[in-house]
Amino acid sequence: MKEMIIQTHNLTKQYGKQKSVSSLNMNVRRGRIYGLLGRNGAGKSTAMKMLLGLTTPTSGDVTIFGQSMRTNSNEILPHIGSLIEAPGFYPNLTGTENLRIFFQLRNMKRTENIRIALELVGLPYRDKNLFSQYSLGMKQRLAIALAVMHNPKILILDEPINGLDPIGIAEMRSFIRSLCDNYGKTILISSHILSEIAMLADDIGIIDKGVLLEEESMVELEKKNRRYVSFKVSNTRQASDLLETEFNTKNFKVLDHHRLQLFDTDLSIPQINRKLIESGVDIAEVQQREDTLEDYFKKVTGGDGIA
Amino acid sequence: MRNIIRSEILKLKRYRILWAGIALMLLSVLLTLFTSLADDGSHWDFKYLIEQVIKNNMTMIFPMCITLITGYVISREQRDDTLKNTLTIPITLQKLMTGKLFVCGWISVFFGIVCFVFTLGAQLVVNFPGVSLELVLQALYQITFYNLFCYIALMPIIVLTSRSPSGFLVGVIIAFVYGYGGLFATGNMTIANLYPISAALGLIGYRSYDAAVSWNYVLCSTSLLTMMVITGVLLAFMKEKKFSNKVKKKKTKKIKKGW
Repeated sequence: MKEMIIQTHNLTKQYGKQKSVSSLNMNVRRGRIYGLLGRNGAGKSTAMKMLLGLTTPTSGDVTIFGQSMRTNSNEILPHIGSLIEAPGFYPNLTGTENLRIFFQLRNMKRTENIRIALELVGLPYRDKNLFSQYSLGMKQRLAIALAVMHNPKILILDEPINGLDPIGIAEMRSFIRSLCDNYGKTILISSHILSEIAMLADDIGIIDKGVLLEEESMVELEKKNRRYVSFKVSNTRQASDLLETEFNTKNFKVLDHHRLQLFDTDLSIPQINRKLIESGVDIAEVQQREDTLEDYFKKVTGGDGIA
Repeated sequence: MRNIIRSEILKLKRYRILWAGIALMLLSVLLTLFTSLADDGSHWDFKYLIEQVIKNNMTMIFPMCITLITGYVISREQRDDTLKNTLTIPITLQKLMTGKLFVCGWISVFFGIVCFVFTLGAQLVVNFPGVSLELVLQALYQITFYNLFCYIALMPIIVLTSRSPSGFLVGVIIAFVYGYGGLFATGNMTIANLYPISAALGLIGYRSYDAAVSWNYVLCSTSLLTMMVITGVLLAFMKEKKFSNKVKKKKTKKIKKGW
């Protein structure tokens, strides 16, 4: 079991009567990518702001490296790189000049770090273009360059793929993965895009209406996922009778007149097919399927999918 | 602090609002030249030109100008949404504000030099009598340092009003009234020595050759020191602003079309 590097203890943020985040107990393990998944307005950004001390929690505490953020933020924050909400930079300066400002504020010594950070995200060093002339994707890349420039141990990235084109998203995904795999960074990433989290995260937390509903590793989640055989037949009533009488199972679900899901995956599919045809039931389609993260998300949050 | 100041200087690169300050310094001189056209019995020479430029700067232009520019420099962190990057370094808002106030002090000096150059330019054009090297150096010293001292007098207003993204605009109005008040304060030397805007005049020895003018340098210094202390207290008790820093966009009212 890897050491917990970020932990929240009953973290709550209340604005007036509305709880934006409610009793959040989140555990992020060292050297892993934790995906915080939730709909827009679920409380992801507020939770991340509290982790960084940008918003004061109403109650609860954040522990990073085993130290409380409330009392040790000055020692903890220099080891964190972050991107919260939209990228914020000075529009009258170039990307390199913008990074130089934060390079100076961080009292860094090697100017080489600016070039390396820009190259890592695919932006030119000492470019003439001002930040105000950047596309949304370039702005997002610059924000990630800022987050990694000082070689932090933890990265907190709030919706980092916003505004990136499909190629950019794929590049960013492999970049984030390599930061974790090759440089041992611990990464907390939030997104409302299920597929991205599914492809990237080692552990996921599902947050809805400020409440962390589920926290699980992707491996465990895959084990939990329901597997089933989906049938598309001419008559589901006849098919379900046959499953009950001939195969002695009630572990199935009739969706409509033509579709049926069989959860008893130990049964022999060829045998079922043969019996169905013999009984005069036409089979249009048979598929072995598994719940996706979206299905799981719907099940946990009790609502529609998010992306 | 050195790093904060250096980064603040970097942030000023290509910052257009500084041009507004330069234009206002030019306006201050042009306004003075305009008043020289009035036939009010005044005898205009180079010395009088310098005095009038300082007076116009005090009463009309500079308090408004520097409050506006410092307000912009401070509130840009909220406008450009960069405050989150700075706070997570971590650098406190107090330190950031102190750095910004320090740099804006230098901007005041810079505007003073710009104003001096425009005054010299105006002198070359209108050719008032009484030009000497001593007076030129005096003009440089008085115009530049007046701007700096006036800025110190304005600092509490700047700190108080520049916290919200557009609050400094209120500060500009207050600064204008506060600066104009200097004109009335000079009517009584006791008030003039105490009122920060006019005390700044005392520290540069404005019209000190005049027998009717009696500056008390201790009182003037105390007045400006008090302003610095108030600024320090305001900064120290400034609530650490937590990220409610985005400028809210005004909702555009939809106009109903048709009936």
